[in-house]
Amino acid sequence: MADKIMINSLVPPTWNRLKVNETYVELPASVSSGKTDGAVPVADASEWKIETGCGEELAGYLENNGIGPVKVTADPGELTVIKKDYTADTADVLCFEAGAGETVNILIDITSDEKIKASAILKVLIKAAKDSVVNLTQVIRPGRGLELINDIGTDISDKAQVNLVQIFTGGSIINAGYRSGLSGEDSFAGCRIGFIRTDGEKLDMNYVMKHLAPRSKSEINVSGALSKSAVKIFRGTIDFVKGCAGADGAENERVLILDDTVINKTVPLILCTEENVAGSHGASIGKPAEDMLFYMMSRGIDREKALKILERASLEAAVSHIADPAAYEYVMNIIDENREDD
Amino acid sequence: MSEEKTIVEDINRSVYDVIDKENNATRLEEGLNEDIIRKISEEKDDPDWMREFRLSCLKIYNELKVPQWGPGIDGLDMERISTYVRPNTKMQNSWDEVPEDIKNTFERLGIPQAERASLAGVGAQYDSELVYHNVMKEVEEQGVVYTDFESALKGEYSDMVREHFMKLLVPTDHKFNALHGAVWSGGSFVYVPKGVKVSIPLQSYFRLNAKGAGQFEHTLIIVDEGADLHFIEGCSAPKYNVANLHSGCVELFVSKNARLRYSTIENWSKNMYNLNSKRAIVEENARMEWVSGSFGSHTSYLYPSTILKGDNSTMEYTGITFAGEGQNLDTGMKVMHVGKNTSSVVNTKSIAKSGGVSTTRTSVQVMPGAKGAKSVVSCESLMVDSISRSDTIPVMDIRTDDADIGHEASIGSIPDDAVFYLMSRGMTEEDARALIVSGFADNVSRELPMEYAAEMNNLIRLEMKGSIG
Amino acid sequence: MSQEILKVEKLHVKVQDKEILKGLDLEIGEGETHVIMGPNGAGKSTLGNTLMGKSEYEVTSGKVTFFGEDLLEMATDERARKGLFMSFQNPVEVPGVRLSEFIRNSCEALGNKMSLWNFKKAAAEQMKVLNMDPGYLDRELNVGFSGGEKKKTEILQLLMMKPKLAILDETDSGLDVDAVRTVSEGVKAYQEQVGGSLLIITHSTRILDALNVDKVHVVADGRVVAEGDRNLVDEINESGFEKYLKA
Repeated sequence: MADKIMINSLVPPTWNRLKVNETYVELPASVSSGKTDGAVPVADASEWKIETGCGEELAGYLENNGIGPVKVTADPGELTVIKKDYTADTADVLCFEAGAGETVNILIDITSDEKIKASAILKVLIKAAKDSVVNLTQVIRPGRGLELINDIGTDISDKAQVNLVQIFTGGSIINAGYRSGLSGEDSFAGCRIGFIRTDGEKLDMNYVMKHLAPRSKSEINVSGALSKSAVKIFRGTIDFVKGCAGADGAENERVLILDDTVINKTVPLILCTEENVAGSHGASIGKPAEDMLFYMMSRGIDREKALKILERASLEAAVSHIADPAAYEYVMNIIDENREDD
Repeated sequence: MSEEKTIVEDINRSVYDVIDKENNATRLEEGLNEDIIRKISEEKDDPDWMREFRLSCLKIYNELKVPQWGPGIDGLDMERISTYVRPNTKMQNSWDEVPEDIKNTFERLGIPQAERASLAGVGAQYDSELVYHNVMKEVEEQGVVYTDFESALKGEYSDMVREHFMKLLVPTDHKFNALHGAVWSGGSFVYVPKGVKVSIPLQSYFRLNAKGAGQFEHTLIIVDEGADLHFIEGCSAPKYNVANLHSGCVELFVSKNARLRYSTIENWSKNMYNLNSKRAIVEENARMEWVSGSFGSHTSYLYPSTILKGDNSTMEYTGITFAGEGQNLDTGMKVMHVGKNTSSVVNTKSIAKSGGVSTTRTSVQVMPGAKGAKSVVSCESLMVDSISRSDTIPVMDIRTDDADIGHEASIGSIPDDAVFYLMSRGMTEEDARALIVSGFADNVSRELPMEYAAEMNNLIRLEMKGSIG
Repeated sequence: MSQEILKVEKLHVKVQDKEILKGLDLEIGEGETHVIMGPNGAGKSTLGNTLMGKSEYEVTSGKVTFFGEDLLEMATDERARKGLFMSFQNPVEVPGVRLSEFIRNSCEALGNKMSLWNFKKAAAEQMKVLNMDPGYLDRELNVGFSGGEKKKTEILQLLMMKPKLAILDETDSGLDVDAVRTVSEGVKAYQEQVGGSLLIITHSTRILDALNVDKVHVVADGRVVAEGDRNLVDEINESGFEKYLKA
């Protein structure tokens, strides 16, 4: 029997009829734990109780299924690549930690064979100690049969940074959660997200920046393209908690809508109980700008191809922010491979 | 600064707070049941269909749940609200006929003066019924109908009223629409015939004097093809230490090529639960303009909504909300783009101060097939201190490729350097901050008729007084 | 005159209901370099944008042929594939699209398909002429580029695409002396390497110093009001446009 759980809740909620307040997912009655090279169960799970974007019900589900947090040691100065090629119902809770002053680069590549029908849950927890930098890049490109929950939680200390770059293509239903606890002074959390959804694919996102400390900064940048009955919900919350004086949060979304069959919902919240903060949101949604198309056509590129280029540009806008050269190259190779296929 | 701004006399908040002695003809007992509904219906001598409608709404009310997404309304107990209070006078069309105490109240609020100066017609409601209604002769001669709702229900326009009444705001939409349908009383009916342009505004003013009572006026405006109207709504009440309830409904029908501007300055007392519904449907080439200032009430749910049904229809919304101590104001707007080449432009400003909670809640929906839709939404919030709360909760739901949707939201505080700059020119800190907040609200006050802009600036100054420390 | 490739006859163009071009005539032969000069608002950029087929520019009457074919009937990308090119005054920023991807796609559209390796080699060579770092190829198209970088990028496209007729719309405006020299080198390289025709729209003359000019047209109020050889440039430099403007 499948379990129905609630994820990606909007806090606070808004009008029910808009159907953005939460998402229900059906999960298999049991999942098995995934294998990750070099991962060892954490000594004390209670130290890894970090809130995520998907929320408590998912955490409960994982606990009930005996999926405990495992720690992956990522060597500073080296790119840690984790490949998840799903073949069956699987769940993982991966924990990463950057020590004081360290820079840690992690790349997670999610794939599955086109023929595989399965449900996968990947939860990533990150602790960034004082003055550390964590660069996490996720390439999420599973086959059509995979339903994926990709959930992230971070705890960021003084002057530490967590930079996330995510690329979403493929899969059938992808639910993505993210929550950064900006608990350190002058901490930073950045999210650069690129997506292409087409052929009825779904992407349901809930990204929360919790500003808990003075001068904490956050940025969420989403760019993507939708076509052919694709569905996307983006919830982005910047939450300025009292005491976070001098905090700065910005979220931005650009969505290209390529036909009349898609559903595109954008819910960018700014919550504030602190006076001295700066929060902003910007969205631009619609068809590609005519002046861009004209420019490309003036160079001989036909309209259809120009649209294709702009669609892919949604991904590259995110990729260009990958800090680690090895990770950048890894992702660009994947994108170039797809380009040559056109 | 006070010297520079003496064009506007200092007003004391107490003008809103003067309580008239309750001298009612009728006051129904508190609570809500079939018996009470029947009594209201009897008092008002409803047609049969209306009595049945009220009773059906009561059933819906009892079935629907209180909304779970907005500010808490636990302090509102319908068992302690009298839904119908009839003042001790019939409706008059001369202020001289209005009883002295009620007349004085409206004089203090400046209504008769405004009527003489700049209005084409005025309706004044006191508790559950209108006490005054008058329209300029010239406007009446143009064929413009502006009457109290009860007369409209029985008079020449009864069919038109019945055809439109609660058709946009249907009772099943939410619990408070159903409540309104069951106990509504008072309000105005306006019909502007084809091609008629009413060059100066009409105004309705709603005053709730009775303690522990509710006001449920219904406003229905039909602007026929090519016609033009500006309608102003004002409201206030004295403060009590028990809850009062306002749950009005405003239904606006803007026909082809017509334009309607609907301005509201809401200044309910801080014991008021203001659960109001407003909706406009806009036909081909027509234009709806909303101007909304929310200053009063304990708790507000207020989101004027617009359906851009006709091709090339447009809407503009300009709103300001000022939430001070003890207030939880949940305001915003909704727009649904249905026709082709429709456009919406939304500007909201919100200010939170002294522990007040301001939530700006918006929704922009672009339906499939609404080709060429354009929407620009800008929401700005100002946090005056760190004990208040300001939330922005927008939703965009876009389902066509041929749309151009922009949304901007920002939140910030009063910039210290600006305060410093003004103080370096001799202004006190309090005046400097008040001036900056007025400046923040400037694009809204510009949209208001002059007297209202002045009133709004005064309200801001009042609210900003003593805000330091 | 050598073989004529572009012929504009009595061209009338409206922009937002305002008539900008009012019967403009122009002929350009193969390999020729023409200059269009004129005061602000004369309609110079309108001509370029109309020839390239920008939708806001509405041709109300007149005729344009390019290699004998009706240019106005063609979509913008078709015009480019026939060998027409324009260097834009303010090229648009296209986030997420890398310069290399863009130029490679353009060359491919014009029938010059290159492997990534060959493309990079060819581009690097041309970038040398323009004093550009090959690293630009990986940057997002025009995003955050300075005025000079944008113009150099336009000329790089010119050199890579090798069109038959290139319109340079105010390519020298807003550039310092060094940048003008670099851009001018690029244009000279195009003349030498490709031998294509040029239509240089300008209101200054610095870019012309190093170039061979065949004909100069003075445009005022939507028409060609004077024509001449290179000497006309010097004359205008001395006495301005006043004598060509209606009293």
